[in-house]
Amino acid sequence: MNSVTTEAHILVSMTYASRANPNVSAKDFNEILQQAQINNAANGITGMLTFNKDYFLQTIEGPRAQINRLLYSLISDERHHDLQIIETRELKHR
Amino acid sequence: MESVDLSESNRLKMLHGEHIILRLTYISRYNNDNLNGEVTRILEQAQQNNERNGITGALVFNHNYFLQSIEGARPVINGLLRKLVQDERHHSLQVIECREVEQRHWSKWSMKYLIPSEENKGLALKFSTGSEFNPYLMSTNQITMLIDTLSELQEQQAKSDVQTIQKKKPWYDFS
Repeated sequence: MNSVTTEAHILVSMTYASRANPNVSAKDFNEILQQAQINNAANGITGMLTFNKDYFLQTIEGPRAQINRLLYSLISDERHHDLQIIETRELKHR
Repeated sequence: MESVDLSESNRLKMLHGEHIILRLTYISRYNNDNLNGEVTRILEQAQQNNERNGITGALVFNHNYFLQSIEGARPVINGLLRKLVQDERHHSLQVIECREVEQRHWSKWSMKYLIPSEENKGLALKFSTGSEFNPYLMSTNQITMLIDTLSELQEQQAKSDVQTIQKKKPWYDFS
């Protein structure tokens, strides 16, 4: 069964906040952005990311299964910690 | 200066969002190799932890899926989510909905267990396109409505059970 195509009709938006790990450098931030752009384009994910030296605040939108797969990798990403979902909801359009 | 310390600790908690009630609904697939005995153990342990952490909610499960709605302080709910994602007793967890609420919906239960029965089998069809129950194909509204409907049915069942017991009691029974 192809779960990706069967679940792809549900569009969700997810917003989270997290704390940057103290050893994350400006170079890391650039890498994060570039990596995110490439991965998200491939997975049909759009969104916005804002950060300063202490926090990340991101909204991502896309197919429900893909957004949740991204959540898994975000939770285990060691460049930040204390990830808190602020909101997740179904969307009619992006 | 007790009061100063107290307000300071409250302020620090507010910084973490502990004053915000968050409700999070997720679905996951149950790992079939689990023994029934383990499920009972998981549920008992969850109940204790939830009570201690001020988490309330409802859990629907059958032999394939979990559907759970949990509510509590935002950092507490998110701490639980991080644990759930790593829990190997289920997989493919998907957050369906997560939002800030003014009041709890499941405040009476540290966890209300809802087990679909033969009688309410039709509910799966009511909220699905196919006859087979698969929450991964259901929308946010369908999932939350299914949980609410199961909960209402269970309440009604409990009420009618009480009435039946009362009716069966013979008039001469004074016990």
